[in-house]
Amino acid sequence: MEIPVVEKVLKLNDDIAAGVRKRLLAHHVCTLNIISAPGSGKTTLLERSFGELREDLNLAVIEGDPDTTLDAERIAKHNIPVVQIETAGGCHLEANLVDNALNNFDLDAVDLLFIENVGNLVCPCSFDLGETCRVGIVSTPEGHDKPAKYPRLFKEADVIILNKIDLLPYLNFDVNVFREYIAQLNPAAPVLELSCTTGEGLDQWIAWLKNMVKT
Amino acid sequence: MHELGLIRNVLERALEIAEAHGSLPVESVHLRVGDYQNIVPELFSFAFEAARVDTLAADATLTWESVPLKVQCDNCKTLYMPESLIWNCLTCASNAATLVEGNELVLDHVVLQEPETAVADTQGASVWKSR
Ligand SMILES: Nc1nc2c(ncn2[C@@H]2O[C@H](COP(=O)(O)OP(=O)(O)OP(=O)(O)O)[C@@H](O)[C@H]2O)c(=O)[nH]1
Ligand SMILES: [Mg+2]
Ligand SMILES: [Zn+2]
Repeated sequence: MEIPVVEKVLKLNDDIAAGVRKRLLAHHVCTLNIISAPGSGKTTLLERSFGELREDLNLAVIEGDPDTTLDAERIAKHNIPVVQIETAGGCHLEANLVDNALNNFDLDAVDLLFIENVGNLVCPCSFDLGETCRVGIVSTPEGHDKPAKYPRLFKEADVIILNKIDLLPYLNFDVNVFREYIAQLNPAAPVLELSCTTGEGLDQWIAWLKNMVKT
Repeated sequence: MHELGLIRNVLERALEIAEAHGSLPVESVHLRVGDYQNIVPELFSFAFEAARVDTLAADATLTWESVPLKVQCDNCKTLYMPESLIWNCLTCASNAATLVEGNELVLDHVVLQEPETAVADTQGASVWKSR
């Protein structure tokens, strides 16, 4: 007996994400879903951004990791409201986890919410979290071929960050080849080269963020 | 490795359907999977085999139809089927295009065992019990 269904497998996540998006919009919260491989510098980039942003904007952070509260502890040292989601080994965040995490914030007192996804270049891409924008990060030691090998993130990201440019002199990372892949995959996405260590290029990122919150 | 979570969703839905139809055993589950979804077929089958154990779908098979990418050029509206996520319009060479097919991840249909065979099975079971 054949029973037709024709239903999205991710329907539940998509429905919850739509609810999260509505909830965030109602409180005028701009939300970034930050995706990269483990160790590209997601947490460091947030830590380096707080100083420039906190005068004008109320910030909050959701940290997603398979285990530990280490990243949340790093954020909490800056006196920014933070919730750690431990995914118990899970390779990505899902919308219901974010929905629950939001209960821990006073959303009326948040203008810009960063969601640091679990370090992974593949799985997080399939799960809408209700974010306003998606940020993809690659760091130079990972190699310039990452957009070619993991195209979906780079196809969908609203902005792409190339971090750790301070290490370029020691690597064979070809920035032009990297930019060419991105230009082919996602011609509209800005590529911001920066170093969290030296601070070079951080100003473009801050400007991009401030502009995004405004619009 | 998100395949495991996806398969759990699929299985849950299939079992709901089976239960709504008098708990008939699930014979097969059919998906449509777009190439955009980055699904590793082996992981999908493996996850299904692990998840179906001790459920109404314990003997069910999983099949899927893969759906190739089809995009439309944002510039000249040409429809074409790219081989990767790098899109080059065949007509105007623009990289900007919109996905029209290949993003689906859909539970298309579920096949349940025919009620007659299921009834026969139950009778068989009760005969066995009465012995
Ligand atoms: N040289 C250099 N090192 C950096 C830079 N940014 C971050 N790092 C270092 O890279 C390492 C990983 O940074 P994290 O910020 O923890 O990376 P992450 O992406 O949050 O990692 P996970 O949360 O584990 O996925 C740390 O040792 C940082 O100090 C940079 O611009 N240059
Ligand atoms: Mg981190
Ligand atoms: Zn064209």
